Order: sequence, then C-alpha cells, then structure tokens
Amino acid sequence: MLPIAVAHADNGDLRVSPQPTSLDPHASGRRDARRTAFRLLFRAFPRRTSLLLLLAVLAGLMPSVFAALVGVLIHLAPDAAGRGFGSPAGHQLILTLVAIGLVLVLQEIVSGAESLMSIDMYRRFDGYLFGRLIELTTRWDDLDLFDDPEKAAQVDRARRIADYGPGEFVSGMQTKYASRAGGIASAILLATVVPWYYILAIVLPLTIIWVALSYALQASHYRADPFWANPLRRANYLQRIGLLPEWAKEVRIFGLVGWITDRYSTEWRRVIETLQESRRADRGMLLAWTAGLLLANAAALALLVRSAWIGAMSVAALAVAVQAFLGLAALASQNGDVWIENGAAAMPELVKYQALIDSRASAPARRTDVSGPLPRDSLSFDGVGFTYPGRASALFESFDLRIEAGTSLAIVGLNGAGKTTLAKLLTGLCRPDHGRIAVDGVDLADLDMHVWRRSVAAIFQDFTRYELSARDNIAFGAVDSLGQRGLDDRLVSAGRDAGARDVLERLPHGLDTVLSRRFPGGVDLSGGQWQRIALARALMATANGARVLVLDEPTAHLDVRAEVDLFDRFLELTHGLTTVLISHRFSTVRRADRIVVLEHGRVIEDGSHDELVAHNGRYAAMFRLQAERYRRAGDVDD
Amino acid sequence: MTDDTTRPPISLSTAARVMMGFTWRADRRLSTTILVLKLVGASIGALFALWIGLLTEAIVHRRPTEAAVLVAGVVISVVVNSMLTFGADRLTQTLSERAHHLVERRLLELVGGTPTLEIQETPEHLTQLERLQDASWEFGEVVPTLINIAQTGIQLVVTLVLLATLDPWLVLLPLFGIPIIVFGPKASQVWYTAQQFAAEPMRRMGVFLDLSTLVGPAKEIRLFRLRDVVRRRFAEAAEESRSIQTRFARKGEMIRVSTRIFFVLGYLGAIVIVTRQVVDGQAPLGHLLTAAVLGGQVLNLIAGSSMLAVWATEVLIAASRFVYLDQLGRRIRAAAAYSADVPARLATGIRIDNLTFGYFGRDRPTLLGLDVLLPAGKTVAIVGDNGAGKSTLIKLLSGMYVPTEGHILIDGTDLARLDPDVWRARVSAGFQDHARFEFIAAETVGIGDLARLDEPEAVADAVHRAAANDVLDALPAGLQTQLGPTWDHGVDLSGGQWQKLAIARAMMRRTPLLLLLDEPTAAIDAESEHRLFESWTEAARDLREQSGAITLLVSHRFSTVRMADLIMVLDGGRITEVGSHDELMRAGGQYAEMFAIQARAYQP
Repeated sequence: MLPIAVAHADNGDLRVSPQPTSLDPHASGRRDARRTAFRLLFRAFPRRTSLLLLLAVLAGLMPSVFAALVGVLIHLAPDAAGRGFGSPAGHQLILTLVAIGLVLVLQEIVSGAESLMSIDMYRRFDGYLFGRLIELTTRWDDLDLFDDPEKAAQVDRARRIADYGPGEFVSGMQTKYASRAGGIASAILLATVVPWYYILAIVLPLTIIWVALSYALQASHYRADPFWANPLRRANYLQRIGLLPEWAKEVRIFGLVGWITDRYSTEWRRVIETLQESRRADRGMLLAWTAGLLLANAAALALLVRSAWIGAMSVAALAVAVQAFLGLAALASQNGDVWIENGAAAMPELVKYQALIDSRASAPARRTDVSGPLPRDSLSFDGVGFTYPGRASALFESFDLRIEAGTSLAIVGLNGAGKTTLAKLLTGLCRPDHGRIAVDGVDLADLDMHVWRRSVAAIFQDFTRYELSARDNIAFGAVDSLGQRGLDDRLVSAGRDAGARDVLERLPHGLDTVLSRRFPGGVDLSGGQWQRIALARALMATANGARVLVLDEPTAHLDVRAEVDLFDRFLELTHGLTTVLISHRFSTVRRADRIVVLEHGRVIEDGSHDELVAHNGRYAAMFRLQAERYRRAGDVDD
Repeated sequence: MTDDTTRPPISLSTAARVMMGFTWRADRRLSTTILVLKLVGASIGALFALWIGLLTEAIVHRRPTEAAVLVAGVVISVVVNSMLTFGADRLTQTLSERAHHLVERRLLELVGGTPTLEIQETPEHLTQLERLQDASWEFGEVVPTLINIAQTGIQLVVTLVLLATLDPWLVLLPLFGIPIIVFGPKASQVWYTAQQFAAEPMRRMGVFLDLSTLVGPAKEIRLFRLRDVVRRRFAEAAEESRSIQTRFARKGEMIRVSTRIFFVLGYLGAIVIVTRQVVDGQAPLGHLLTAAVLGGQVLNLIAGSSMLAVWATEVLIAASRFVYLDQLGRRIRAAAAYSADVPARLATGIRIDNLTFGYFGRDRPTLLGLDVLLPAGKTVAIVGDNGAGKSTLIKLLSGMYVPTEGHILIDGTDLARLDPDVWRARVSAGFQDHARFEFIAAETVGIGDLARLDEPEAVADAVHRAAANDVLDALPAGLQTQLGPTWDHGVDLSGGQWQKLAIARAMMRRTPLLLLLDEPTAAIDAESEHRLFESWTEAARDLREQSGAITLLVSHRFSTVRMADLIMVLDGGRITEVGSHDELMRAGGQYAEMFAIQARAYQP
C-alpha cells in the first residue's frame, strides 16, 4: 500500500487524505510497470535503445560462438594429429585458431561498448523522466494541483520515480537481454550439434525447464519484495529522526533515543521477518527444482554421451553440447531483475500523471489583449466564491473588494480568516469558483496569466529558499532580466532596499555564493537573512515593471530593529505601486492608505487607521489591546 | 586507492573487523552456512573444465564407468553450482538485512546518545554522517563482499592447479592478467571519481526537481514565471552530470578493454600451445577442451577480483565512517565525568559563570564572558537581535554544547558534572524551529514525557495548557490521528498548528527545573502568545516556587518580554543589560530603545 500525500494545509484548516490506493504489489502490476518502462524508454530513445539491445544480444551470443569454434578445433585436431600444421587439416586448424582470437577480441570490444552505452543511457533516461515530471508539473499554472488532495496524491506518487533511480531500468534491461540472449544462443547451439531427434527430446525440455525456473524464482522474488512496505518507510523515518540535525535538539531534551531505537528495531524486524518467511517458503521449492534439474540434465547428458559412444554424434559435437549445457543456466539468471523492478516500479504513476495534466490542457484559452503595466484603474473582487478542494465549507461565499490602483491596502484578521487565500486569488494561483477578479474591469480569467504575473510581485509568508546562487535568489523576481548586462548592480540595489546589504556583503563569493551548505563554497542563512533575500526578490520584480506588490507577513523572521526599519521605509518602497499588505500585527499596517478587517470570509471593517480607531469597532479594540501592553505604567516617553 | 578527501582516518582492516563482528553477532550459523555454500559451489563450478575434458577422453578411449561418473560430475557442476549460488544469495540477503539493522541501530544509539550536538553540528563529523546516510545500504554488503573475495580466491586456486596439470607452462597464463590487476582498479576508480565530479550537478538536478514538483515553492515558481528557467537549468544540470559520467566511463572502458585484450592474447597463446601438443600427439584431445574452458574462467576470475577489490574498498570506506563516528561518540561520552546528582529542587538558581562559547571553525566566539544568575523560581527573558547568541545560550543550558570556557552552575554544581540524561529529564523546551514528529497526535505530544506517553489524560492536559485544543478539535480522529500527509490517513497541519503541538510537548513535563522557550510562538499572533505566557507565569507560579523552577523565554515581542521577572539583553555575544522591565526602562539603554521602537507603532 502506498501512503498518500495531501496538499499542504494552510489557514489552519485540515484536509484528510483519501483512502489509500495500492500500487498492485504483485506480478501483474509489476509486468505492466516493466512494459510501461520499456515503452517509455523506447519512445524517448528509439535508436539508442535498439543499438544498446543489439549490443547486449551480441555480447550474449559471443560465448556460444566461442564454444562452437572450440568444437571445430576438437573436430579438426585428430585429423591434423601426426600430420602437422602444414597439412590441409592443419591449415584449417590455424584458421580456426585465428577465428577464436578474433571472437575473443570482439567479445571484449562489444562488452566494452555495451557497458559504456548503458552508463550513458542510464543518465539520459533519468534526465528524460525527471525532465518530463518537471515539464508536466510546471505546465499546471495554478495551485489546484497541490490543493486538491486527489491530485496532490498523484503528484506525490509520480514524484517517487526519483526515489528509485529509474535509470537502473536501463542497466537491468541490458543485463537481462544479454543473459537471455546467451541462454537462447546456447539452446540454438545445442540444437545444431545434437542428432535431430534429440531436439524435441532434450533441447526443448531443458530450455523450458530453465525458463520455468527463471519464472519461479522471479515469482518468489515478487512475494519477498518489501518495496512499498510501510514498516520500512517508518523505520527509515525513525532513523532520520535519530540521526539528522533537524530533530537533534528535541531528541536530546526529551531523551528519545531509546524510544526511537526500539521502534526502529520493531519496524525493521517486521520487515526482516516478512522477507525471511517468504524465502523460507521457497526453500522446498528450490530443493525440488534442484532435484528436477539434476535429473533432467543427467538424463539428457547420458543420452548424448550414449550417442557419442555409439558414433551417432562426434566427440567434438559432444564437447560443444556440454558447454551449451552450462550456457543454458543463463536462462534462469536473475541478474538485472532487481534493477528492472526498481527502475520500473513508479513509471505507471508517471503515465497516470501525464493523463491528469493532459486532461486540463485541453481547456480552451480565452485571451484579452492588454498592453502596458496593469492595473491603471483598479483591482476588484466581484462576488467571488472560493472553496478549497476537498473541504466542506466555503472560505468565501460572495466576496467583494475594490482596490484603487496606486494605493496601499492592508488586510488584517486572525489566523484562518482567508488573508493568504486572497493573495493567492489575486495572483491567479487560485481560481474563484464563481464571481470574478477583475483588473481594470477585465476578468483575470480572460487575461494571459503570463502577462498578468509580469505585473504582480509577492512575498509570501512561506517564501522559497532557493538552494541556488544569491544572484538567482534575487534575480528570480525578474526572470526576464537574467543574463542581462548590469544585472548585478540592480540586484545589489534591490538587496539594499530590502535591508539585505550586510547579508550580501558577507557572502564569501559574492552573488555567486550558493545559499546552501550542501554545495561547495555554499553558506547557510538564518531565517531573518532569508527573509531579506526574499524581500529583495519581490523588490526586484517591482523594479522590473510589476505594479502590484503583495506582502504576506513580510517581517515574521526579522528582529525589532530590522522590522521597524523596513516599515519606516514602507511608503518609499511602495511608492507608485498598488500594495496589498497582509498581517496579524496591527502595529505594522497603520501606514497603509486603507485597512480592511477580514473575518469569516467577509470584510467587517474598512477604512484608514484613524477612521477605524474612531469607528471603535473590532480593529480599534484589537489595536488598543495590543497597545495597552506597551503603555502600562507609562513607561514610554516620546 | 581512492581520492575521496572525506575519507576518515580509520584503517580498512579495522572497519572490516568491526563489520564482521556485526555480521557474526547477527547470525553465526547463517554466516558459516553461507561461507561453506559459497566455497563448495565455487570449487564444484571450477571443476567443470576438468570433467568435460576427461569425459571426452573417456569416450574416445572407451571407458564406460569413468564416462558415467564424469556425466554425473558435469551435471553436478552445472546444476548444483547454479542452485547453491541462488540459495546462498538468498541467505546472504537475509544476513545482510540483519547485519544492516544491527549497524544502523548502533548508529542511532551512538549519534542520538551523544549528549552534545557535536556530531550533528561539526561540519567534518556531519559530512561523515551524511555520507553514511547516502551509503548506509553498504553496511550489509561488507561481509558478502568479503565472502565473494574468498570464493574468487578458491576458484582461482582450483583453476590454476588444473592448468598446471595440463602443462606447467600454462601456470604462467595468469601473468597476462597482471595489467588487469594493476590497471583494473584504476578503471573502476575512474567510475567513483566520476561520481564525485558529478555530485554537484546531480544535487543541482535534485534542487530543480524539488523546486518544480513540491508544494512549498509552487507559488513562487508560477508567480515569478520560473517555469522555463527551471526546466532549462534542470536540463543543463542533467546534461552536465551525464557528460561527466560518460566521459569518465569512456576512459575506464578503454583501460578495461585493452587490459582484457592483452589477457585474451595470452589465452589464445595457451590454446595454441595445447593445440600444438595435441597435433604433435603429446597431449590427449581432452586437454584442448579443458584448456579452452579454463582460460575463460581465469579471465573472468581475474577481472572479477579486480572489480571486487574496488568494491570492497568502497564498502569498507562506508564502514570506516561508521567506525569513526562510533569512536567519536565513545570519546565524547568518556570525556565526561558525571559525579554529581541533579538536585530535586533549585534553591538559588542557575549561575552562568564567565561563560564563553565558540563554534567550531569560527574565529570569533559566539558568547563571550557571560556572567549572570538566573534566580530560582523566576521567569527570565532574553532579548537581542538576530544572531546575538540567544539560541546558543539555550543549547548550553540544556547541555547540548559544552562551554569553551567558564561554567554553568546548577545550585553551585557544575553542569559538566551532571549526567546530561538525568539533567534533561528535568528540563523541557519549545523551539521556534521545532521538529515535526509525524506520529499519531498523542505520541507527537506525549513524547515530551515518555513516562506518561500512554496516559491520555496527561496528554490532554498538556494540550490544554498549550492552548492547543483547537488543533485537537480539528483532527478527524482526535489524539489518534496520524500526522503527516505522506502516511496512510495522514493529516497535514499548518505551521501554527505544528507549533502549538510543539508547545504542548514542552508542557508534558509537570515539574521541570528549567523550561526553555526559544521563540516558540513566532507563528502565532501576538494576542495568543501573550495569553499563553500569562497562563504559564500565573498558573504555574505555585508549582514553580515550590521547585524553584526557572522559565527562560526568548521573544521579539516586548509586550510579552516585559512580564518576565528578569530581562537580559544580549548583543554581539555579551550581556549588555540585566534587570527588570522597570529598571531597564529607567536605565534608558538598548532595551528601552527597542521597547520604544515597538511601542511607538501603537501610539495613537
């Protein structure tokens, strides 16, 4: 059973995952996975795949060719005996020896080329599949893909192809094809040297029995496979808790090591026992097969030796046949199976994922042409209704709000009031169920999302920490300017405006420094430093033409001075922009031209700071309560 | 043999010995069985060449009994060797899993059981730990690899003996394998070098994959129109990683193929020699067959052993990282001398005495000469800018760091003399960067006090005291709800909800001597934080005064900070101000300034 992911919950609401669906852990599902993987591989790289398989087959054939030539040698040697290499038989002997030499050299060259190509294809296939995953996911241009629990679960399952190294499928196929080709070549070789009536009596049964063994072993491997087993996942999770820095403090404070270790062992033992049990069940089967194979091979060989004995078959042919006996065992080889399994396991999920993404793409796009920066006049929510997928109650039923272009609006309210959702609706990351969001009177649904988003910049509460260079981290706010001349100066200037000058100056390799210790020469930043970088990114966007700036709790990680410094420059930073500031701190919103108080999906108060204080409603009460805490005993002097 | 610069200073033989110990402990009978099976299988398999040659002779010279015996020999060599290999591989898997489990368990105990954060926060140790995480599956492979080496050795010996019986000169055949032995490891090493060079682009691939497919960055990727740049950069990283690996692989294959071709020439020479003897009537026909089959075996054995040698090195390097951490953990434990008892209650308090602490690898100490008394029974607040050293002090007080200089005295007893486990049983904590324990909710909270993990009332009480009832109410199965979206029926929580559960966890211990609150309410609005802190200070006052417990709070919200009995201002690793709110306001220093800054925002 595969655990299902759920979209990240926000605003304090919960979404429960749907019933777990299982990825069929048994043979038929596995077979489908293999077929799917092969189809994907072949479609992506038709010529390379064919060539690789051809090389694998060639490599598999070589030992049989060698065995056949040794047979020729044995056949010719008695004729040449006593007559020397100068005799006609001796000449043929020399030719055979040359051929043997060529085959041996060729075998090495083929196997070298094969393994080189397999390494190359491994990486290509990995890159192709992950690239496809990226392409599919980013084609979906709003958050519905992650907000809808069903879709999010599909994303999570498709993502898991990365956990299993899909490139392994290539190595596995190559190995498997080579041993299969070797086994089949041995069967053919055997068929060519035995008297014809033995083809049915010996060659076929032996071939069948080895192939059958191969399937029997594979089936038991399926039974034993712990792949999607939950205990193993839980064990790995517990291990990470015990080892990784993320949990280290609390593991120590609460003395959890023993508890974690015991649980870890319990989960692991369950895995080991399950596996062992399935292997134990095989023990009898293995013995039975061994006995059967012994008898079949002994009978077959006895018949062939008898043929040679009575002269129905030459000794040379017998020599070849015996080597072919050995070669037949390759038919049961399990080499490569595990790689094929691992590599192919999650591929059907990728195909399902593709279907999910494709289902959306077919919707016709309506486009209204607009030019120049937006908005010139206003932004408005007109009767907007919105419910998160999978949630029972609507967040907004009929929400109305008009924002004048060029002004600043603050949205305050308690956790879960829907503040962040408004920001997501405004940026087109969520789509209203009904009603419309309009820019200068044009429905957002009719605008080219690409054009609209060029006009909007935002810093979200859970801003992204890109494990990339400081340059990328800031320049991503204005992606069109990447690679332009003079970019660095503009980045530094945006950084200065965001209060990140010190952060940037202290970077060991300047803007090239990767903001992650996982990379050579990289550094880790603190929460406050990250927030300044994220703010610089948003400011980079406004410097590049974005006219709307959304600030969702932009100072949560900053210390007192940095926060005050930022809000002191609020007017200067947002000059000429349409600004939406979201906060639960009343002290930070008073500089906005207009403040709305959001509660239960509705605007309950609306006005400037002074107006709202005078109104003496919810805002005034909350503001006074917070202010009270600073004013007691009159310790503030002006 | 390897250029890996992160290799720990542990000899491979030590690593091998330690790992064999684990395997032996995992299952003695199984270890022995596998060894015997593999060695028997190897010998039987290697004899195939002999049987087949002799069989030819027996037929040519009309010796029926011998022929019958040899038929049996051939069949046993083919079938029994195959089946022993299958069987032994199965058993080896079981043994690997058990050994793997034992090693990982030990690793958990030693890393988690190290009282300080030294392993997880010292870059050079952390590198070893991270590398181990990447290669932990190799733990189980040490012994199978060593067994395979023994197996290859046996096969080689049997094969050489057989060759010698054909013609003493043929013993020289393996000499043609010298280039394989000499250059083979180099060829395989090239592969590992490629892995190291490709590590950076591969990590970058992971970054772009995560950026474009995880929910966290999804908003910005779409809003900032990063789709094309992310796709392009990923493709570039993938191509870079591939071309590095293919380039090195080409080099490796060239070496491999040419050394093998050199051997093949010797092999051909051997066949020519035996053919000549047969032609000259000096050797029986069967020798030719035996020589041909044996030659192929020698080639595979030599090539296999050179691969095995490299593989064994890699596996043992992983093992040596474990041994390194194991020794480190023991050293840290041994360095401590726990000679004092943790007091039942605090009489005077915790004295921080000339405390200096510097992080590994940084030139400037993070805390410098701290001197202060945290009085018993009081609440103490620490304020200061980002990076002032507040969290460092918290970690020192809970024994997760050892002071570089100076002491922390618990009622006069040096913290260094207390057993950290016993001390921490009397400490509780809530952090801003709290951990997300994806268990069922009752456990996520309950592990705050393992002794009462199974008491639903205790858990419910902690949840209540953390004002986290609303979180619980929203859970579909209440305390029995599985948390974490990737688990079956798992539920995801918002940042604020996770934080409330972390606070509830901190509330599980009823009578801690020290409660550490390191910005635990940063994701919660000011109003809730204020109320929470009020309830901690008021509701538990009696209890606190009885046990002399100290609450230490870090917060950026001065409306909360001012309620503390004592406030410390940390600036650049030093304590610049200490006193009550009123005292510090009167002093008109940094505290007063910061308070005024925040208060100003609320002036009408």
